[in-house]
Amino acid sequence: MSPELLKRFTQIQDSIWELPKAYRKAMKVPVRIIATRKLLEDLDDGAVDQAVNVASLPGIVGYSWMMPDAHFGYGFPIGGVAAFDAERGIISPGGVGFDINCGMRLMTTGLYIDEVRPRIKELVDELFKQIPAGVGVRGFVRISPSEFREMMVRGAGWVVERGMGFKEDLTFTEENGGVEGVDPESVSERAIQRGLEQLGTLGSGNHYLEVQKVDKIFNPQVASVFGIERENQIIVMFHCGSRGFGHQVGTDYLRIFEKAMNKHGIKIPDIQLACAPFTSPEGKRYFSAMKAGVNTAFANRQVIAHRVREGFNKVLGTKPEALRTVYDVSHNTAKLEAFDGRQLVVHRKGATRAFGAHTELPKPYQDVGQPVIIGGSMETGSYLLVGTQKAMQTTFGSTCHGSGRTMSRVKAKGMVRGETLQKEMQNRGIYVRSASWAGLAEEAGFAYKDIHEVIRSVELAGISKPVASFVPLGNVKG
Amino acid sequence: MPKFRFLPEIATADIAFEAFGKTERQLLKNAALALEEAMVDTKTVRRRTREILGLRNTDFPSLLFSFLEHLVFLKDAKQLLFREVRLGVEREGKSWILQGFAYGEKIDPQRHKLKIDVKAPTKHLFEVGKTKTGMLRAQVILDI
Repeated sequence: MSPELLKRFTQIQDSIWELPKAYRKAMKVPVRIIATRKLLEDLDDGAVDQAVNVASLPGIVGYSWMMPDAHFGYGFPIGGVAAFDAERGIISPGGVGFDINCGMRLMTTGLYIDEVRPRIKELVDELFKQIPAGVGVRGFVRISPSEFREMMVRGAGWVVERGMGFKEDLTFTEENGGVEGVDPESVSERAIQRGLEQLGTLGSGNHYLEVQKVDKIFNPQVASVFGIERENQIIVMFHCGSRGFGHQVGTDYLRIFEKAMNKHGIKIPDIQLACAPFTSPEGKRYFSAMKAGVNTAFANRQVIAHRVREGFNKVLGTKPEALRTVYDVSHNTAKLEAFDGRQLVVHRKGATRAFGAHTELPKPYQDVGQPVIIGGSMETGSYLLVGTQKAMQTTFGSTCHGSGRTMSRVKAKGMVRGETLQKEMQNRGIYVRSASWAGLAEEAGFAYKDIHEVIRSVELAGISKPVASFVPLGNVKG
Repeated sequence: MPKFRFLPEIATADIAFEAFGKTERQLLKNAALALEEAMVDTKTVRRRTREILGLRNTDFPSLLFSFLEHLVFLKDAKQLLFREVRLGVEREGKSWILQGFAYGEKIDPQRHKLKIDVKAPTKHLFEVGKTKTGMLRAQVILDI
């Protein structure tokens, strides 16, 4: 961050910084950033500028938040949280992201390292076969457009009914794996055509599936509630979203919203902030189509969970029911949520819901808080956190979602070859299968922020607490 | 002047490129090639399928943008990647019209040197203009 911009921030408390409303005339609320001083200083001005733009949108409430993993996005920053009054405020596809309900699932396996390490290569090779990854790949599930419509209305429940998974998977998925209120008419034919053959696929970019071991347990009591009992326990974590379907919904509605803004008299500093009043016909239609994207992503991750079980069963003979979903949570959504008695449209783009003890959570978690799954870079490991009441009071029940990139893909690719990185990682005991050498190089650990510093930031701010950390043994990369 | 080049300093999590052309037609072709090259080594893609292209928009930048969106759509909906486009572009009243063909084939992870999946072109820092030497130039950030 430039010294001039840094000077405008004041520290509110440990790891919380504020850029006042007076910074720019159009701002309706201040910007607040969750970060250690180091991460604040490393944050680029462009990303802060985007949060400033968000702070000027109609109906924004509280603060325009940036999480410690924040970086430059399009329109809204990645790692941004913004809540808008449901009556007076807006909804924006740019505040959700093209990959609607991009999210994380964490599964325990009932296995320990000694059972898996000797066969990790075979296991990862099998998972690479089971879960198609990479540019434009087709999944194994063949459905008709009318079945796709049913699926996007129902979400993961539709998948479980077809024998791919268990009812418990739904219990431990945010929103039980399906949000209500999808009007199929709000979704274009193009979106359905684009997503039709992609159910059960990982995608590429920063999407991955990892076989990990529990490295450290920070909070044994909460870890046990989440099914994490001991170090060296084997878990599976994966990261993906609504694939081409969600991307097309985003594409369609950005175009619709660009036109709608004139009609609603909304002026924005960046076209990628295109938005419409939440209560307007355009706002309602996008909210419905976005929910279809949310459900499709839950369904996608449910199919992947099923394929993971098949892979473990084939290689290690593990019974499918031994692989248990700890939680499945989104980090790209807009949700209607109540805070302090107000209905708010909470946009989380590259930010995870992090509810403290809450009746909306699965019963076993209602007293401890929501599991928050934080994927680090494939080289540095990942975290399981738990949401807090402090998050409910400050960040609309939200926290970070990952490490956050610091280096561009083109630059990272210029610094290391995918083949070299794979060998280096293998020497460190991490076996990687990737659909693309270039894609692998772009995801090198040095392209990301320090995950431990990111976690320290949210812990210091009190918006989530570390439960356990994980390190990878094997990785499937798109 | 290259047909296109990727820009390492612009987009952190995404991919930015600039494409050039002496004419609108050439700029459209080169921008399409840049998009395809972000997803695959286009030298590994054969000319096995011909996809008919027909798009209309209100201005040239919008036409270019919707053309890129269409190619991204074809990558997912038909699993097609392209190595070449042949097209014509003309103005009709206030509209810009693109017609032509894209040549490529179905994605084959065994044979294609795949790179990274593109979710969408974005309007962030999207520019269509002219260079100092009078070449047409487009700058596009692809959401990854």
